[in-house]
Amino acid sequence: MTSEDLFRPRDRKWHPQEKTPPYKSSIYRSPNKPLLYLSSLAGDTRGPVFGHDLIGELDNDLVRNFAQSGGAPIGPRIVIHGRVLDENGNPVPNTLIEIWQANAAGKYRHRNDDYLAPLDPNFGGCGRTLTSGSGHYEFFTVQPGAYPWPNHENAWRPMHVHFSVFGHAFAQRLITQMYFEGDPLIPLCPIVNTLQDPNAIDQLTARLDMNRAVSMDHLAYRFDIILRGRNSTLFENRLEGN
Amino acid sequence: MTDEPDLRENPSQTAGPYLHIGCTPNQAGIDQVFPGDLMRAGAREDLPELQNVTIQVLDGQGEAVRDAMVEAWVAPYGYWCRSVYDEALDAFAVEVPKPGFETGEQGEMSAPHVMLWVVARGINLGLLTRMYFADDDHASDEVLNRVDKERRNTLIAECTENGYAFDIHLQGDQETVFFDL
Repeated sequence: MTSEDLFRPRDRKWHPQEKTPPYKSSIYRSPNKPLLYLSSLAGDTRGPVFGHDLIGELDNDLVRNFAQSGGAPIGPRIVIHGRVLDENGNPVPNTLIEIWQANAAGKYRHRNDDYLAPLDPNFGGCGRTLTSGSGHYEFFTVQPGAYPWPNHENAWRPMHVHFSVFGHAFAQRLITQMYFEGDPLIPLCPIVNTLQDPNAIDQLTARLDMNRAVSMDHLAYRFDIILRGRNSTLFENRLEGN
Repeated sequence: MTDEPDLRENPSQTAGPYLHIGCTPNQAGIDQVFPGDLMRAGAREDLPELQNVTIQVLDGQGEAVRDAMVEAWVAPYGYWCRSVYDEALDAFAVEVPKPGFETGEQGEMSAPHVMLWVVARGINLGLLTRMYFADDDHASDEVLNRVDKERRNTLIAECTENGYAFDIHLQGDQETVFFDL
């Protein structure tokens, strides 16, 4: 390994704090003691590798991958697309992205979801893909609905899609959520507000992308995913005697 | 000179209670989308025998965190696996090859260990820890030696009849040591 393998430390003020009491589930599920900092070398600078043979033709098409013959899910048809890059702007090719979401009524196909909204017989809510050689990805889906949750009286989650991204190193592993531009529930959500910096919230908010929308077919949202980058510059500076 | 990156990492958000839909859909009953759940990578015939590890994830009140997901990364073998709560076992089960002792670039010693990553509802940013094995000598492990003596045992899996057992305490008196990597 060389110095260039070091990842930049995570900015813990940019990420949510562990304990964020307005988001009640975090109260007993967050460490009270400080984390111990280790150089990213200690976690290894590689990660699991997945091949294109893993991915089926409809894996990134949530409109079709659960639909019964001749059926289609209810809801606004959308493409979510973007690039996976690292913090230095380098594309992250061939990396696995998994997504999951509620249906257009705000109901998850999950036994623990007891919201009274209906399941959609044509919608499963999961997808996966590998980024292209230039780091691009896309999912075809329906826009998920907002839904209530028991965090506090009249608590509602904004429309969102969950993203799980692997990157090329286990130190880059990330799970996050994507929100939709203009959703008035965004500023009311205690999970969104675990983020202190408005720019952090903005970075998780996908933009309507009319250039990728297709007339009489579907709208499009753009969502780029930035993973941690390596810190070679800092190391070189130090070598120069700063 | 500052080292401001061009871009900033996407901030984390909790995986929430329904992560199974995306990560292990077949086990969540969505069995017609992917042929099988993606549970491991890097398995090869020349790996050492896989060890069974039974993992409990507990919150600050001692309650089992059943909606979590645990991923294991064994760097020397490029081996990765994940686990969701197994009802029959009342725990999370992973199978990992146990790596050997290693010496790093600067002569730092490391005892056999596996990296674990825990996500769940209520965890805002995935928690990373290390699992060592009780039947090894850890005295020279550079990372363990940086951990307060009285907390080192939170990183060591116990030997059981058919493998190892490891408790992850997210919070409390026995709180596991988590790392910022």
